[in-house]
Amino acid sequence: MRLPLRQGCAAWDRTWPLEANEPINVKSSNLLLNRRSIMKEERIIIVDEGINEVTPEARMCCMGPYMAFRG
Amino acid sequence: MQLSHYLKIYPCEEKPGYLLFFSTKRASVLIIKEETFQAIEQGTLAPSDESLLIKHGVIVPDRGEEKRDMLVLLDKINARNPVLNSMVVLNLDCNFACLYCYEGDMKGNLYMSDETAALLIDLIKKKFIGEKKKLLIDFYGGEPLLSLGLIKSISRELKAFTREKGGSFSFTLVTNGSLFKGQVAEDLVPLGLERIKITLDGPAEVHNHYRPFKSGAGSFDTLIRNIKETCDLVKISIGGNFERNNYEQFVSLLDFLIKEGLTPDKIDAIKFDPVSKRPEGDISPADYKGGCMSINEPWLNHASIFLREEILKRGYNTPKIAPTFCMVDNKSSFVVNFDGDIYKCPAFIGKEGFAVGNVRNGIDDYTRSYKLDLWKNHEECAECVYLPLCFGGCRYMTFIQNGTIDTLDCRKGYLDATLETFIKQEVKYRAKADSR
Repeated sequence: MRLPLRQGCAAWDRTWPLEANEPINVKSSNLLLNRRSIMKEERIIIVDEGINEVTPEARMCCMGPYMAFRG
Repeated sequence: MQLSHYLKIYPCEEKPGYLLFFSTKRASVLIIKEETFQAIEQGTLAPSDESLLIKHGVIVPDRGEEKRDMLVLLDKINARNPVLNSMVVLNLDCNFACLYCYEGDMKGNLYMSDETAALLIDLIKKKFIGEKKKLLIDFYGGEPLLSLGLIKSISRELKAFTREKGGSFSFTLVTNGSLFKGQVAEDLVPLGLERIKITLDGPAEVHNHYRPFKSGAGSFDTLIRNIKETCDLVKISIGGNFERNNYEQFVSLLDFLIKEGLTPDKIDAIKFDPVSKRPEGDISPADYKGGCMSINEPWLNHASIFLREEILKRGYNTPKIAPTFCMVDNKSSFVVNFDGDIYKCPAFIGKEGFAVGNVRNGIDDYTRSYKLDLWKNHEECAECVYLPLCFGGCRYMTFIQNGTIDTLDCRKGYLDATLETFIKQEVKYRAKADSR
């Protein structure tokens, strides 16, 4: 299933499963890029979560008139 | 854990001390601290980071196994595909006389008959079985809206059929847009119309040169009027076909759309593509000799990057770079021509040796005629980081070049030259859009 392009604010606060006592240091959000000043120490920034798998609807020829906007 | 084979790592100038990662398999984009990257290589990754990077396709337990899995990925998708997709060429007639018309000398007063449409519906019903949950029809032409009655009758019947089966039905139109008035949209949306694609070849003066009405009159103003009238009723995607000598002028089209109130919230997506050359021996209406034969033509690198930047810069959506699943490889997808002959790709309609059956007798085996899995015979494909984005490329491109599809349409050169910038455009513009 294709993930939504825009995660919005929900992603801003999402933290990923962390080990006990580990500092919350990994966040997923496109917004982080624009808030560098307050999020200086993140190890991993998820700009785009991508897709879980290639879906049949993700067809998109890259040339010619046959391109279908899908996904 | 090992780094995925399907990973491109680029410098991240915007954030010193970090690297930009793009998974060609998952289409994920990550910015990772250099120390974290070193931890991957040294095997000292924190468990939480490890699970995150596995989830996004950056690291895998075994790179060799990952490559072997990629060899059967298309088979796996086909095995569990819940979507049945048919592109239906309703006619080969048109009220436009485009300079580069792709149907060229095939065009004429050729329409799908009611009998062929009934056989098409029967065929689709036979194929919508088992795991199929969604039926998707792309109406195509010619100009599909010259067959409006057939669009309505086919979609009405298929909508009722899929509802009975507990599935869903929707359809799209690839139309020149001249007949897509508000009333047409209002009639078709309840029948399942999901989105349409309209082509605008740049600003008025360029578009009207390439895509006039048959009378010779310009079509641009009509299309803009129709888009304004319908953009709140249905998702509209705008395509455009550019040439080497005019692609920079497409920027004026984008500015014009904004000026006219066709802002990013009104348009579902925009993507411009090069005009593709016609195969040797085909005749275009105006004896058109232009067009490009390969995505690897060097000028396309700049043109693609430039136009994508201009689209994203203005806040419009454009398709993301992601793995592709060509309709030829999709076992649940087929194209039905107006006369009932079946093909695997609309580009091959009418080409000798590429029909794979007809609506009366069904679909024959096309493994050989369409050279399925050709890329599997090439070691360089199996090793290529771009494999998920390409799977051997476009058969039609190789057909234009060679008159056969015996060779691959390798896109490595193009992706080497453009992908890094495309991904950085994603970071720059989509991230900004999300922060609004």
